Amino acid sequence: MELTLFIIVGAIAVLSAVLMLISQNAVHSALFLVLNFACIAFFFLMLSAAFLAMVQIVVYAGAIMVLFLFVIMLLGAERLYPEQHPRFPWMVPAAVILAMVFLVAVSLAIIQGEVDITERAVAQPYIRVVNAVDQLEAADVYLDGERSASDLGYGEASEFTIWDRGRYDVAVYESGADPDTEAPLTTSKVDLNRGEAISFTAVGTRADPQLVIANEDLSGTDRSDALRVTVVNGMRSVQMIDVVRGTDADESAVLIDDLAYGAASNPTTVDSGLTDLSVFSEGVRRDRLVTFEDRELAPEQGQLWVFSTRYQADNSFEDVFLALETNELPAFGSPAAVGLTLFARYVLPMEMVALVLLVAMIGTLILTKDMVGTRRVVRRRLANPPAELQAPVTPETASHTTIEG
Amino acid sequence: MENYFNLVPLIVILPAAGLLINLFAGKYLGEKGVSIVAVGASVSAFLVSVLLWIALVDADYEAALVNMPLLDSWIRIPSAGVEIPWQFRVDTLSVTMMLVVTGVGSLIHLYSVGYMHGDERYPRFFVYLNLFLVFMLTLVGGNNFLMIFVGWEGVGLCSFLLIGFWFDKAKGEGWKNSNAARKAFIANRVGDFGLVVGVLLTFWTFGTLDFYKAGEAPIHAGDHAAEETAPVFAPEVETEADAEHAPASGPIGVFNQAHLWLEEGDHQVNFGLFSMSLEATITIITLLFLLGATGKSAQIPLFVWLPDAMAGPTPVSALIHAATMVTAGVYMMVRSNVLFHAADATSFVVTVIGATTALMAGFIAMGQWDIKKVLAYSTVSQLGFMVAAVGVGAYAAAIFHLATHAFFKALLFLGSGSVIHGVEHGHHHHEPHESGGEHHRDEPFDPQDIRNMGGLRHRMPITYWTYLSGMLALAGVIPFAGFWSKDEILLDSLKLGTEQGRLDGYFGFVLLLVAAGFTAFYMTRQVALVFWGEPRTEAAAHASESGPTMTIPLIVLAVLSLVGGFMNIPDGFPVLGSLFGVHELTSWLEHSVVYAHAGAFNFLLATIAVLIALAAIYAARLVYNDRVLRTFRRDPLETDPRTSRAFALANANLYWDEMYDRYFIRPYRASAYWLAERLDWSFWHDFVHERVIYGTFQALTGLFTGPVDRGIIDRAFNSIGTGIRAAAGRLRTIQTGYVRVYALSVLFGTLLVMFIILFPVLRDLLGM
Amino acid sequence: MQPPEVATELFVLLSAILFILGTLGVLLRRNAILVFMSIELMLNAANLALAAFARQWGNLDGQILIFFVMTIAAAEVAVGLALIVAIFRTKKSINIDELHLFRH
Repeated sequence: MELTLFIIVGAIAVLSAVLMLISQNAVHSALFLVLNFACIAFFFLMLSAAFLAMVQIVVYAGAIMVLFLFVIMLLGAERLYPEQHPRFPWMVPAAVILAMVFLVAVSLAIIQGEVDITERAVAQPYIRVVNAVDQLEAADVYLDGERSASDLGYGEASEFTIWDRGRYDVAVYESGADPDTEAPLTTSKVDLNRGEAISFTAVGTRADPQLVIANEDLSGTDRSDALRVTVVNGMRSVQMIDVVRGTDADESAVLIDDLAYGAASNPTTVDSGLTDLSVFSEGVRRDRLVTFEDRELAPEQGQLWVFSTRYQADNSFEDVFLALETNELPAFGSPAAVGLTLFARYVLPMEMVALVLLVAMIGTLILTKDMVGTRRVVRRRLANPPAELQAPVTPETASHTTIEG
Repeated sequence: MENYFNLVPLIVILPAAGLLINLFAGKYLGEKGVSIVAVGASVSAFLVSVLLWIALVDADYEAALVNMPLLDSWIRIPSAGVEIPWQFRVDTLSVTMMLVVTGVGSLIHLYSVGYMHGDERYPRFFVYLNLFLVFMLTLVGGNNFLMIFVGWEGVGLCSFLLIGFWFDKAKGEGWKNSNAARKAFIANRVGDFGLVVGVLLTFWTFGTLDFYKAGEAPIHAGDHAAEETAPVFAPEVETEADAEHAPASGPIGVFNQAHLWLEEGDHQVNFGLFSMSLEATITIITLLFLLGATGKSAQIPLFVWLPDAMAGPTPVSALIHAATMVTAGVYMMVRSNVLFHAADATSFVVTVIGATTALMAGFIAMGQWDIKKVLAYSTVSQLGFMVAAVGVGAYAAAIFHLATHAFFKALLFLGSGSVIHGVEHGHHHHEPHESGGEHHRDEPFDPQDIRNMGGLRHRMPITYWTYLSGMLALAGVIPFAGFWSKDEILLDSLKLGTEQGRLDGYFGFVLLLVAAGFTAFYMTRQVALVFWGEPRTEAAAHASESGPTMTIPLIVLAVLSLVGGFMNIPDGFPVLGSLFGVHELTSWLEHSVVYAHAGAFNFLLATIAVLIALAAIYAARLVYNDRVLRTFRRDPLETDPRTSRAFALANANLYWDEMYDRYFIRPYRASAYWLAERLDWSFWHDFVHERVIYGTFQALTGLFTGPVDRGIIDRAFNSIGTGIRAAAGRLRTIQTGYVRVYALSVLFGTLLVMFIILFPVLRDLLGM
Repeated sequence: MQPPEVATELFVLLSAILFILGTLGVLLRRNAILVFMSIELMLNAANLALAAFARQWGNLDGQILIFFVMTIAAAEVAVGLALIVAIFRTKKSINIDELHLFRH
């Protein structure tokens, strides 16, 4: 089905391109080009680049081609006459030959290049950072010197961003600290692989923070009444906890058991619904440490649960339960995804391109400015230089170089 | 008294100081100052010699060695073991020579004051005279052969300088003087070659050039030195170190070494490629010394310079060419008596040469016109006597004759100078009166020609009587000095023949006897033609006696000519023997000259000798009688058919110079010309250099510049340039300026890059 | 995401064809504006290839690059057309064969 569509639209695209080239009327050529752009937009849609498809329409067809048409109209160049005496008669065959050669070369490249199309699309790892460090009000996290999250407050999590695969040193700094000169609060080494989604959870206290690497599952569950949960134990005083649904240490209600401090569980499927969650300490005496009552667990949503303690102003400790949503990633090619990547990783190029646009705008204005006054007169005069100006440059002084009148 | 020995350097330093003063300050001192300095230097040297004589007598005739200050290690080559100090040897022989040289030399210095008066280079003359003294005294006073050589060369130099003293004489006369000087120098050079090689050979053989080293005494014949080592050497053989002066090892002088080795016998001298016996080596050495002596002492074949040397001023002739320099050869041979004694072959040659020279020169002297030339040949003849004496082994007799000859020959020369001076004086003062004279108009007046003299007996009496004294001494008339010395030589020569059966003894005896006769004859001839009879020219008629500076030396020398012989009266002569002592000189010399021996007196021989002399005198008187003298036109010997041929030969000095010219000079010049013009210039320069070397070079460079440089290299690089320009011209057309063309080339480039990248793919695809 | 139905190679091939057409346009057309439009075609062909590969590897970098290309293309078109207008003012012609300073 898609293939058929591809062939049809492809044919239209090629045809419109050819017609654009052949057409004697510039406006016709422009319109054919617009049609070509539309086909390209269609292809973008087919290639899961929805955002770009729209941008194509808006920018190319809507702005650029309109500009072209304006200029065509302005210059009155719609009529294009064939060459009376072609200056380069050899150009046509030469160009065609070279074009054919080019085509052959590219075809060779395509054919020889073995692209496995069955390979899974999602490749890049996603990461985010969660700050659950007691008394660390704002944190910066760097991966190998590149900042991943900044000014992360207690209980906050950054967005999932795509990162390249590889090994990294994850370092947590106090927000505002200079990673080059100051020592991090804590570091950890991690190896990012394809298809992973990792939440770096910082737990503990400011004096003794710890980084937990929690693997999350972004694929979600098939069931509509369950959700995938990853639990991180950040309760320092308790070495081992069980997480239980309800208030009783019932075997059947145990969601997570034997979770050590500073460790993360695997993603677990949990039933949705309103429920209480209790934390029991592991050990001989199974004390119920804390109960978080009436938590709504929304289905079809991934969550990251972080249990930690927080030091209060009145010298008491409070148990905290953080439930952070693991949002599904934005769809491939969606504006959100593009925007996320653009603003997370390509900020600098984007700024530079913006600058280029600005310069282009200004340049255009200047180039097309109508100069009044002597300047213009001079220009015109220079366009038709008087005889004496031609003298300095003669065949004797520079071969075959003169200013055309 | 021994301290006087240390004065011996003064003997050289004083004349040197004198000459330096005159050299630098001469023109400021004036004639008087110069003469005082020069004569004073000479006289003081004589006084030093006297003091040395006294010291020697006081020291029991033991020789002393004194080093010249600052020249202790004159020549020193440690690696070759050469150590030659400038060391004077004061022994009886050297002191004898010193006395003669400085004594006669001082008289001649005094004489020169008058003789050279008015000469424009007056100071220079005395500088040269003093210089001569310096060198001559080095020669006779040295303790090694090298000093003899230095002195030898030095006196040769002075001879050259003095003979050619008037090199700037006008009208071409100056050339004659310098030619004579050059002839003297060159002839001496040939002899010097012999001396040098002989000295080198001596050094090679004996390892040293010293006559006797410090502490050595000459080993006399008959000393059994091989057994008694200690008494031979200095008495202070006390320590072990001194005993090292043993004969077979340690340094000893040439003569003792020779003596000891000869006694041992069978000593070989190693020359690297071969070795010779010591006797043969000594023979060669002595022959070489003889060659040197023939040069310096004017024997055959190198005597030809002496007659020409008369071109110099008369004092020069007197001092150098009569009394001192020419005796250097004789001295040298006497000094080496140990070596000559050992080489019988050489002695034979020496005797033959000496005797032959004596006879030949005497013969030539009979035909000479120049007053000084007669005396010159006479000198040659008398030197022949001395040399023959050395040949027969009569070393003491040779020295004796040397001394007496110095007295009377100097006297004769100075006298002749006085005569010449007087005649010249007469010529100048009375020249206008000579307007009609033949001599004056046809040729320039020669004041030395005895044909222009005559009757000077009355005009110059002092000169005459002193001259007569000298003549009788030379002729060998008793009791004049010449008799004693000549007689001793004749005796020894005969003894050699009779006692040892040696042929050269007889030969020498006969020739010398005849030569003695000749001597008397030509001297009488000279006296007759100069002094007797009447003046033959106006110049002679107006000649005047010379001043006291000239006549006083004449008188002194005349006295010496009379009594000089008494210093060596032979054994057995009545009366005088007991009066003056017997063989005083010989015994005096024995201390230095190992083989000096005294000759006994033979009454018969002496009588014969005197009679021959008197007969010759009488014969000459007969020939040159008053009648001849009065109407003298041509020499009777010349006109007489019996003797005219001989006379012509004698007058032409036996064509020696002509023979040398034909057989040596001309071939030499021809070969020199050939070498210079043909070989060096035409062949070497013109052909080899110009054509071959330079031509080849030019051809090569032509090859390199033409075909290689211009053809290949230039063309290569030019073609690079033109090629680039052509390519650029063509490539320029790519720059069309049209966008489409540029776009096409961009596409083309892109394809190129793509193909490069896809090359492996292509390769796999095509299965290569 | 599912494995793509249409092979990536086809997209790239299509992209190549469009690119070549654009090249031919640049080389063969005399009108400057048409040359420009051909350039735009080339750019779009490149965009297409980029999108195909982005989809292939599941990497948004390709789409980001498309984004930038579009931006730059827009700027370029603006400036280029402004140039053409300015040139047209003096030369009264947009025949690229005449847009040179050489005297022929």
